Amino acid sequence: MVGGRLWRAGYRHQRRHAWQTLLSVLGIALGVAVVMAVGLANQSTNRAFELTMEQISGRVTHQVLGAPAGLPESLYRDLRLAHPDLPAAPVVEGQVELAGEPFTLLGVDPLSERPFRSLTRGRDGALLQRLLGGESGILISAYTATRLQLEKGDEISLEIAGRQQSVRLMGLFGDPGAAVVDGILVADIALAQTLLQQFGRLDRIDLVLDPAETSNLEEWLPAGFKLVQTRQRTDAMANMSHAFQTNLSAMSLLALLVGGFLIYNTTTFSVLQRRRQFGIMRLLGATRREVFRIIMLEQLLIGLVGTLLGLGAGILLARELLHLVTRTINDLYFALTVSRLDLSAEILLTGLLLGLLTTALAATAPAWEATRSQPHTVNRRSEIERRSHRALPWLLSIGLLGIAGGWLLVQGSERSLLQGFAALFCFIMGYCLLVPTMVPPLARLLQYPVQGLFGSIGRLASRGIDATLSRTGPAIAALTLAIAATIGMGIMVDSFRGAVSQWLSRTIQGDIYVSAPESASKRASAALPEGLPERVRQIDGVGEISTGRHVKVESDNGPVDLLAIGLASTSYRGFDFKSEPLPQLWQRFAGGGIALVSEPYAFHHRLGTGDTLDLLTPDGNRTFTIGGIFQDYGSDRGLIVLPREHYQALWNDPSVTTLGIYLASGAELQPVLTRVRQATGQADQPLRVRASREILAHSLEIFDRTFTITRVLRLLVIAVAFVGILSAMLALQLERAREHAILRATGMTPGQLLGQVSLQTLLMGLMAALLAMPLGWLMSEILIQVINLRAFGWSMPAQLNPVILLEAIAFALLAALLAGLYPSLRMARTAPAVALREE
Amino acid sequence: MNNKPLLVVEQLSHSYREGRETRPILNGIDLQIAEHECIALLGRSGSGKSTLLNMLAGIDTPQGGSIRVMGQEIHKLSERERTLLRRRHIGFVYQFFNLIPTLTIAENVGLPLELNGYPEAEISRLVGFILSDVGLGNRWAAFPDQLSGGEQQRVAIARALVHNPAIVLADEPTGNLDEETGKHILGMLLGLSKQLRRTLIIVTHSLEVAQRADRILTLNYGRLSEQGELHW
Repeated sequence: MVGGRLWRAGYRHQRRHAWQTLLSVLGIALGVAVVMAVGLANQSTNRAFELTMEQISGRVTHQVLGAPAGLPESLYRDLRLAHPDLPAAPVVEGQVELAGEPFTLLGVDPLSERPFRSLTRGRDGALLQRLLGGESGILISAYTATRLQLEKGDEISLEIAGRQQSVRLMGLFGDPGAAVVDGILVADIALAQTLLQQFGRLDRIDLVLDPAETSNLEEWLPAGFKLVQTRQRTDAMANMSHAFQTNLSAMSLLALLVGGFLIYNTTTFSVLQRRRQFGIMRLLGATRREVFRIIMLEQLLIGLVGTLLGLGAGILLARELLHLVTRTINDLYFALTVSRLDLSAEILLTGLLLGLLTTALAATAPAWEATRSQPHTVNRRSEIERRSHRALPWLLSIGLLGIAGGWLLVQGSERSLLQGFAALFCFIMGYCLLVPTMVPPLARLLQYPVQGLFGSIGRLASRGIDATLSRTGPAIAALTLAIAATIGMGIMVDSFRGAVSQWLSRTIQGDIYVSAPESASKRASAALPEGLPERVRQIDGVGEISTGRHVKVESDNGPVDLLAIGLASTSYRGFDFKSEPLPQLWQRFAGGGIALVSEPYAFHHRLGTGDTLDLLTPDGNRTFTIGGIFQDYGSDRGLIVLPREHYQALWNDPSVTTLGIYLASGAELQPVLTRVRQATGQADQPLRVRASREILAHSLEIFDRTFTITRVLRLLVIAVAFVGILSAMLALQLERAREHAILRATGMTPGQLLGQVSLQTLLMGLMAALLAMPLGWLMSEILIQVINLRAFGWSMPAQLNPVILLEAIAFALLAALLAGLYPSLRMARTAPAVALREE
Repeated sequence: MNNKPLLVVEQLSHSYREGRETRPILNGIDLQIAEHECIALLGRSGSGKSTLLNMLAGIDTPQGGSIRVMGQEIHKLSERERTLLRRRHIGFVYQFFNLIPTLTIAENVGLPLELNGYPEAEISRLVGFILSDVGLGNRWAAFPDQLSGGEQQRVAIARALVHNPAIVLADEPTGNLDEETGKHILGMLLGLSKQLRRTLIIVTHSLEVAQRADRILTLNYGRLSEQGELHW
């Protein structure tokens, strides 16, 4: 039983050190808020994805898929004739934009829909009849209509591959109060085909099949078509953004880890400050368990307040992050509209538990330490420091063990992302334990130059760091972790950006590119007008052209992006192979049967040069030999490259989606650009004509946009860390009030004291910055070589930008200086007699 | 000794390590203290007086010998059992008061009662009595830093006696006070211990204080002697 007086003693201690308590609460609140916000944003996007898929798939169990250009309508007719009792529905699906947001346009046949989806039934039950009656228009969910302030009968403008199309809002589906369905537009299949310019073609045929019927249907299907399970396909889509979301979660956990460190620090200081008090309690007969319990309960209470505040702040932050996460998913993976946070009791409970668990873990060691305080040593401060120094070999051993554990985890698996993150956390924790062991030698090293520069004040400042290791050790470790995190993440993003920039410069060999407008960064997939390459070739100033056809095809590993290229003479330089390609690669590539695969594709599917892969062509599966594995940062799902001539022959698809123009010798860019724009302006559809430098700039802009969320998370980690440092420094300096009072009483002026304290905190900041560099580098190496590779399949060289290191040093010094300023000012102003009073 | 022994020490020995050397601090101490006795323990600084007191209270563990407190061999007890023994049967007064700064005077004094599971009403009653006894009945709501050194020591005495412990250990209780206040505090401690029939062991440097005890023990070079000659 923990008594009221013990509680009161703790409560009043916290009240007397309100700033410290507040910073502790703020630290955990920020940590929890970041984890909550990322969790909520991820959950909301996942839920939105599930709901969209549920609406789009309905009761569909299987789908018939085919060539990139779609399935002929005749296949559906033949299927109905051959299997009249089989529930089957033709579907056309495409991406459109409404009010600047991405939407999935679902074209369905109202007659076949009934067994599949409820979308066309509408809220008033009359939509089907109106569709059947030949009325034309689209349907939208009631929730979306309310959100976009649309009403039945409104004329709405859709942007489809750069074209504006006006359609009538014919009706609403779904209940505004029910689970939110957003981002779907439904139209009659004929209207959808017109809008998407997919005349006579379907995207798939949806089916409700008994498992027993699948083999019959598979046998019946003509070559070039494939029967797939809907669940498998939905899972494959959901998995696309899985790695991205895992990375975000891990980064948010880093914020919580820093927050946990903050709690550890605050608890340690709180215990150190009250060590004497706990000793007295023990002398009076309080058992170790009682002392442990009182500290843990007190910290858990602080943790609870911080966690509850963090949950609230997390919800607010999640609204902002949701926008960033959705934009990145739209940029990189698939079209998704998420307009509402999916706030569940489960995620709130997870946040609550995470906050309390982190608090409990962080507080356990200091609380346990408090119970070890021998009652008879309450007056011996030196004993605490002696024990701190005696603990150094243990910290060294455990720290080295942690690092060794991290190394083993990295070596243990080449693919496990979870193991990669576990290794990262082992390295971080191991290194943080090593920090206090490195403080005494560093302090000794810095002592002489500091003494030379600042005299006795410098000596006092540097000696004080080693002499109060029990306090300075954890504070420097916390600061080291924070700075290392900024260095590690900084190097990773910088290296990534550098690698992408180099890759783009190498890949974009042409001078001008023509493609159909496509939202965001996705590779263009809409076909260019027929005959355009030939017309462009005739333009004055055009030397060579390269052509590209980007499609999604079915492979034995599911749907995959395929780029069929007609290379110009210099296009080959655009490929950077990660390993030795097959001999006489380009000759064999041009001859057919050879595919080039991107690094992520090879990594995810464990493929190497010389291996084979199967792609579904209209004539059935076709096997290709992998000629080489090239670097590609365009997609983390991977890309397969084939020669366009062979693709055209195999898939019977002459379309081109991208045109690369190489200027003739001596031709100037601007006049040719103008001429190409004039030539393409006559086409029926709007086309995008851009100089390569515009594409480069645009791509880097998208890269930066993609990493906005990373930068936001990095800033949040820094914010948590700053609160941690402020708290640690504040506690440290306040805890040494008596020592400072003695110095003041001995004759040190307030200015000298201010100088000494500021110098000491600056030295601690400098030590943390120096110690953070190896950890920061280590973190960047793991993020680049392990996490990025395992999550996305991308390898890249680490680029150490000195600016990042200088920024880190500046941050460390500034944080330390700011954090030391208040306590030193306070100490300088306090009358020594007040601080000298023992009790 | 007329009463049965409350505290029995046999062949107690202890030493401290100082670098590579070992410094014996207690060397084969034998001691018996009866109920209600008042013992003065003299010795020069560093002679081991406080160490002996800490061992009698069970907050330090001897390297050799045995200590029996109220029939229990405390070095054989677990940490928790020793704590419970101390909580119930021992009161401690220190040179530096050791009050909890964030608790009021009344709360400081009531702490041993609370740890011993007294009901709140009983705690208030007993605290009120003892604070009146030490002349601080009107200062119960003050915090330690609002009191003088002498007043703080009076609070510490009240805290040591409030739960009616069998043994009161006082480690140089006047060492941090001026002579006048010291005399007053000492008179109060001895008077209250006699009045409440407690066994009191008081460590002191003062012969004047020692002369007011039932017995004087002297600790010299790790050995204990009764009414021995002091080697200052």
